[in-house]
Amino acid sequence: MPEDKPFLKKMIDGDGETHIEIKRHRSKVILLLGIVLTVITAIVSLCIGQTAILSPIDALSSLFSAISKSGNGLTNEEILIIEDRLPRTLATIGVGIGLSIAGATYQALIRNPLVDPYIMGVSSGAGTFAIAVISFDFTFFGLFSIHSNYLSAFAAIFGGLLAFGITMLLAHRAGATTNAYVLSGVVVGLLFGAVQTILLKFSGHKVTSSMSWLFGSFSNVSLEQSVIIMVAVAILSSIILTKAKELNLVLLGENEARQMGLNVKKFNTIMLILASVLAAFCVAFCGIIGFVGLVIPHLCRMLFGGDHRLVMPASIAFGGCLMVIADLVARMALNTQELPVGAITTLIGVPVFAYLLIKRGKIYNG
Amino acid sequence: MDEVPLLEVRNLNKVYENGYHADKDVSFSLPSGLLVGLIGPNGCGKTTMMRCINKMHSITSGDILIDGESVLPKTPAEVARLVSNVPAEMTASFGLTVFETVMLGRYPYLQNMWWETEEDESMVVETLKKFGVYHLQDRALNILSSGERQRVMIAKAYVQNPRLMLVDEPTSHLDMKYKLDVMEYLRAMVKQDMTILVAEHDISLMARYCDLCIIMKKGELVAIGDPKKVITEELIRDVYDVEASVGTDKDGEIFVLPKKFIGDYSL
Repeated sequence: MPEDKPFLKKMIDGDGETHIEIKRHRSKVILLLGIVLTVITAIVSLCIGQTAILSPIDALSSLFSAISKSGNGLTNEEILIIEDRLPRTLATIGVGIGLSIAGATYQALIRNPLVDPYIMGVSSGAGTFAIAVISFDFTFFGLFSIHSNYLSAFAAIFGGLLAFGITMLLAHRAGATTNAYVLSGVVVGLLFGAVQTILLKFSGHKVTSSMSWLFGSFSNVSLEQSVIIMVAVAILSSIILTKAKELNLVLLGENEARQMGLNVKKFNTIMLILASVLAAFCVAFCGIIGFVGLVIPHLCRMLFGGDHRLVMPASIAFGGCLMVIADLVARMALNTQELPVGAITTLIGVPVFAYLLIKRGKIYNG
Repeated sequence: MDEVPLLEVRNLNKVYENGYHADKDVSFSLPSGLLVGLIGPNGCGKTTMMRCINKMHSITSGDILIDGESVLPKTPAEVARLVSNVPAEMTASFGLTVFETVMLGRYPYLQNMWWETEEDESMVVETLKKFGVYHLQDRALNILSSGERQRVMIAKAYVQNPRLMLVDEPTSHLDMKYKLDVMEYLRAMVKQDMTILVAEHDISLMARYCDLCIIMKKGELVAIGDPKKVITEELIRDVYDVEASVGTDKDGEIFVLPKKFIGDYSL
């Protein structure tokens, strides 16, 4: 009886009778909510900041006039929007979406809903090389100039993928089981973590900038960098999204999925690589932002169910706008200075994680 | 027989990489519309043979034909439309409901479609009702009892609409009531156009429900035929090295009572 449905459920499910109708309705809700929430939070993000608070109309008109002037003879307000707030907003949305998609993918492949995109060691590897660059002027043997905007980003992607590669090698030698992936990721993470600690010990006065990278921040992203993040996230997420049906299938286990006609080993390897490259791009310019990739897919599952044809689009819809909200908190919580956004997401994420573990851990243990 | 058999296994040999010869020159054929029991001690090559039939394992030599066509050149998706599988143990999945799990049985037919069709849905609903798990359709799979979970997995294999269904030790974790329950469902599922091959250790249960029994020992096929004729005290002694009483109850059903192991433990 439709009148008995709670409001939220009715909004999400619509009046559909069959499962297919309900899922189709849910996809429309996700699409609509995703667009509306992302646009609203993006506009708020353009309006609010430490330096000045603009009205939405001022912010948008400055944005459009700056674009139409193609960067020449900009007013202060236009400069603020185009060089500071727009890149920051784009990067935030991109990273939020990227980490959520990477997290949801890892959770399906490893068949454990409590893993995050860093489980394969990506964050520790990225952090180690980023600190080497920031604190010790490591330039990859002269490949980059020390002042290059892309030096630390390159280092992070390189380190992240190196750690991922070692994890994959180790896991494959250990039988490529779910446990092998998780445990290999943990030890490789510890290894790079140890190197990181040693580097930090000798960082001297640069320890603060290293630490702020480790906790993640969107404050120094350039427009060019934000476009790179957006493009990488758009391409990689789209590819992963097309494999949502197969991600449902691998939840049944390797043998079952194979029997249903999927080449599981190849599929798992390709998807792990895509998700890790995605995670590496996300940490490259903004540092390590924890718990987003774990909590958002979970939230989507609680709202829309476990079918990845809904979880993946919902992670895109909510990943971006929730990341923007976290960044707004990081920007505005203190009057005097910004807080690292990774610390904010972790502060919010840990209690959510604890709640999930206690409330729903049993369901997931099978 | 002039009719093309549903399944024909021809001189199947499977040698694993470590040299273990799991199936030795096994040949048999099965017509459509039967419930067939596959019986033999642990390690006699039952599961290996089933995995060769649905191409989970590559075969060393021989051929496997379904409706007269070899499965060897077929793609995994093509095989999945002919053969479905109920595993002995279910990997824990998370997030999917009973309905969604059974719906995954339609995956081999989805091709490039994003959503299943209304026909797929009504087929799943009908099957859930048939298996008595319709009321559980929105529950998470992980919180079901093992008997319920087994029924869900059989329902999933059923909506795959195969010609041949392979069921590996379906009652191993179940009590007496659920054992009967599962066998009743398997019995009821056999249709004119589908045969079910069940590997199982409970010989009495197999004798009661199956139309045909295949007995294997150390990778070789020992006997195939009507369980009431094939299952004898001599056969049990030969295949299992076990002294057993094979009797008939008042309804004419065969039962097997194992009494004593007469083989050598060191072997």
